Amino acid sequence: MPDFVRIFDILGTIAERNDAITRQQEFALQALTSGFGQGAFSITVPANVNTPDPKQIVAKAFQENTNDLYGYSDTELVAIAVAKSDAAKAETKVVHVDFARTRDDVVTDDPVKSGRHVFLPLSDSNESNVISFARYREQLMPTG
Amino acid sequence: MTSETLRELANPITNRYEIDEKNAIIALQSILTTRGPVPEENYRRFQIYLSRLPPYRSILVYSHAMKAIASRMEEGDPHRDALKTMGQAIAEHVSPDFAEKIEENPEAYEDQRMLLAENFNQIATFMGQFRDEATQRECKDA
Repeated sequence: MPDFVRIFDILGTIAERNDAITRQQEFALQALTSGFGQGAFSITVPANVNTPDPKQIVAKAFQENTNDLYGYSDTELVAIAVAKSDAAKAETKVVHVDFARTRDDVVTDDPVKSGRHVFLPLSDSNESNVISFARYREQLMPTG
Repeated sequence: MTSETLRELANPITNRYEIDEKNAIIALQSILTTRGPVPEENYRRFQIYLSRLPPYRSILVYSHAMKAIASRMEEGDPHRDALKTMGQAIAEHVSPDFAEKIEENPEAYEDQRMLLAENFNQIATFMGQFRDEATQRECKDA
């Protein structure tokens, strides 16, 4: 017998996330026909800045890599930028940011050694990225 | 070269989404048709594949999911008819080629964006309500 409570929870959680993404992705329209969510991008993190402002990083990423960013909401990108801050602490000057939509995509290699840093802003090993994105949205982009 | 091949070459990401759509539906069917306890892995797979889809693509999976879930519920289940109706309503208002149209035409997406968001908002509200009611019912039965 399926657990309908569990199924409703999955459907509701993702619907909530989809609602947020759909409302927030105006920026992506310019790149609709080109990149479509594929590829990674690199940004330069000032070596003397340990915790760069996530919003500045996102702005810079848009400026330089607009075509690679379609399909991701600014909520997700802020979450990416938060993860970037951690990479900056490791004194990484140029950090390659790839996108992960599921835990299966996560690469845990050292970003400096591997030249690739795929992340999920997870707070614990049992949480899905959907839930984490919602949490970042609450923390960083209050809408109330 | 067929038009299908051209399409595949033009947009491998679209192909990935189509695979994710199918996998989400397969994962749900697997949950709904398992006899006895459903392995945790099945729920996880359903969640992963559904979450990988862009919202405008997942809406049709929601329609399918609601109808499939309703069909597996018992006659007296209070959520059965509501799910069936919601699934049918989505199917009636969202054409099967909706995703392709959106991907080919940014303006079409912009026209539909807020409506889509509103639909997801309502779905999220209903699913939260159903989840809470089903939880309460389970507690009562136990």
